[in-house]
Formats: sequence, structure tokens, C-alpha cells
Amino acid sequence: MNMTAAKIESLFPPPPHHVLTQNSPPAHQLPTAILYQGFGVANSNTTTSIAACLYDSGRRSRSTSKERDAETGLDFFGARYFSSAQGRFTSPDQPFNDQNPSDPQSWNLFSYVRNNPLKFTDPSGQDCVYTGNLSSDGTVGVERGNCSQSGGTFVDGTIDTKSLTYNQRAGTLSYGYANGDTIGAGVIGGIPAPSEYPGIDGEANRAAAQQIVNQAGPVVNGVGEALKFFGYLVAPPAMAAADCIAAGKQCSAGTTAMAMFPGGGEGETAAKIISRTRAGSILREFPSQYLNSTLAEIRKDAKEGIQAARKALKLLQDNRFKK
Amino acid sequence: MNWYVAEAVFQSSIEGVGTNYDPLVERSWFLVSAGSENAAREKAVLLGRSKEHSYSNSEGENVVWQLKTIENIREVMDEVLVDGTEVWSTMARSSDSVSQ
Repeated sequence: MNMTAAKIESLFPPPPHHVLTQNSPPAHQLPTAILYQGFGVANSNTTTSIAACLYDSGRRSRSTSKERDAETGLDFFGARYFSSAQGRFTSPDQPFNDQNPSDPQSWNLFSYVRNNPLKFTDPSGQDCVYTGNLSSDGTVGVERGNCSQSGGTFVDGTIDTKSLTYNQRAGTLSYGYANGDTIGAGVIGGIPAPSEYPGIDGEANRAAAQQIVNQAGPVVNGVGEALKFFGYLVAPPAMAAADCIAAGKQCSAGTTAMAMFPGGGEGETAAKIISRTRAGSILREFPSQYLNSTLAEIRKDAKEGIQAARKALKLLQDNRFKK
Repeated sequence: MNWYVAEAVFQSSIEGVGTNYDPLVERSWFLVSAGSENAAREKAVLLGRSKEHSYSNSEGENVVWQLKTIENIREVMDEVLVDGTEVWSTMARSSDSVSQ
């Protein structure tokens, strides 16, 4: 929680592809280097006494720089333990967290970096994005490997904070992942627009939108000002608003992100809305038949007088159940 | 005929969990057309009961919503419902932490 930006930078691992790792040789003859396969299993052709070396406590520097538990042989990734022998995390990712309908590899909650370790790494196991204060001061918080406070959304990897783009019209925050390569991209939806700028569309808001454009420079340049908590804070709304104005009313950057991962606004499912914004206790009363329905679908049924749909809508919209 | 607003109180229950459940209470305000306040109350009770319903939650439990009471009936002061027609108001001291 008290990470500084510098500390976060230091968590970034070495390049993931066949990392050559130096180890201190103990008294008896041991290899001076270990070549790791993609999922972190040592290549047996490179060394003898590999078991002793792999499970020697206190050692770091495995294929992804993660501490390996001496007894279990599992790598600790901050949020979860990873078994290199199986190429899988030992516990599932958070449901509805960064699953992308167009990417089947994202459907497996136990998989590591989309099953492509030669290209990607997942330094923290998960990151957590806090969007709650976006509407008030135009920033979001990113916490590495943990969601220690309420109102956070887990994502499946380490976010490149420079990639964060807010689409005010759609109410979505899109992001990419750090370390050069990405394991796809994601979108967090349903983020309210800053209250003083209730939307871009409409003549009445064009002046306000222009005002945001005018503010973009100072906000972007004020990175130091933005480092307020959780290590990282970014200020994307003004930038995105500028993008929207530049690209026309459809806010193309956000639209592209939405195409990759449909979500947010009326297209977001109730389950996702609940996991992101509502107290989990409402699941006790939430009609199960609407959990996987989109907000638009629930609204349609509610207008047709279906009581369960009305109850679902009320539970989703009542601010008393806000996280 | 006049328009009245009925304040109905509904409460949830889950079958088979006994006291191991903290019910949700919902207050709902809906319009009723009637010739008198008493007639409006009777109609509100019927309407309230017609809104009772049940469904399954994600754990497969049956959630039941039942009308507990019609707590208030208040006549709408305007004869015609148009933009801006006031249907409900409450008053409280600013020091009063309870407001609706």
C-alpha cells in the first residue's frame, strides 16, 4: 500500500524469454547458470543437482524473479502462487476479471499470461485499479498485486499506467499491460463522468468539453502532482476528452477498446457491475436469472413489468449498496 | 377521482434460512387513483400485494418479497400529472440525520 513509484518500477522483471540466471555456487559443485523454460521449469540439460538448486530457500531469481517457496516449489506472484511444473496458478483469478470474450485463453482463470510465457510475463499476478475518485479529481489509483481497499477492480497483469485512457462518453477506462508486450488489453466500464463535465455530446456540453481540452496539457504535465497514493495516479480524463474532440463525437480510442472487450455502460453484465461497484451482499437478493444479463436487457424486462428485473435494476442502481 | 401516492413497505425473506438472514426492506412509492383516501388505501393494499414476487438467488435460494404495510397515503395536490408535478416530499430539521 505504501509503495512509491520507484519501488513499483523495481518490481518489473527481467525479460521473460529464456532468462539466464546467475546463482551463488555453494560449497559442492553446482552449475553457475540455469536456463529456464517458459513456465519457469529449469531446463535439465543445463545443469546437475537441479532439485537442490530449485528448492534452495532464500533464493530468488527464478525465471520471473519471483520467490520460490522451498517446501512447495511454488512461485509467489503477490496475488497468487504459481506452479511452474504445471504452468498454472494454484488458485483462480477473480471471476469477471479481465476475461475477454474474443480471447479464449483469457477464459481459463488458472492460466498464466494467456498460456504464452515465451512472450509475456505477469509480474504481480494481478494489479488493482481504483476508479472511485476519477469523477472528483480525474485520477485513478493502481495498486500492485493486491486489492487492499474497497472499490478496486482486479486485472490480470501489470498495467502500463501510461496506457490508461478514459472515455468519458462511454464511461470506460481502457488499459494495456507493461513490459513492452501486452497480454491483450482491457476495459473497466461504468465509470461516471466527472460531475462538472456530464458528457461530451450535446451543444450545451461542447463548451465544457473544450474546457477539458484546454486543461489537458497541465494535467498531463502534472505527473508529480498525480502521485498521491497507491504509488501511481494518472490523470487520463482530460487527455481522453481531447482525443474525443479530435476524433469526433464517437471517441474513437474508447470505441476501439470497447470492440476488444465489450463492456461498460448498458452493455455491461450485472455480475460485472456488482463485482466492480456494488457491495457483494446484494448477491443474496439479486435474481440469479439476471446475473449474466446486460444492463440494457434488464432495463428492457423491467419496462415490461417483470418484477425480478425491476428488483435487479433497483439493486444495481441504489447507491446505498455502493462499494 | 384524485391521484394519491402510496408509500408501501416490502420486506425480503429467504425460505429455509430461519433467523440467519438480515432482510432487506424496500420502500416504494406508487400512484393510486381513487375517490377518497380510504379507497386509495384499499387499492394500494391490493396493488402492493400484486407486486409481491419471488425468484432464485445465485445460491439457489428462493427470495420472497412481501408487502408489510402501506405506511402512508398522500393526495397529490395537482390535478393533472405533468412535468414538475410534486408527488412526494418530506421535511426534517437539518440537524436530523434521518431523511427520506
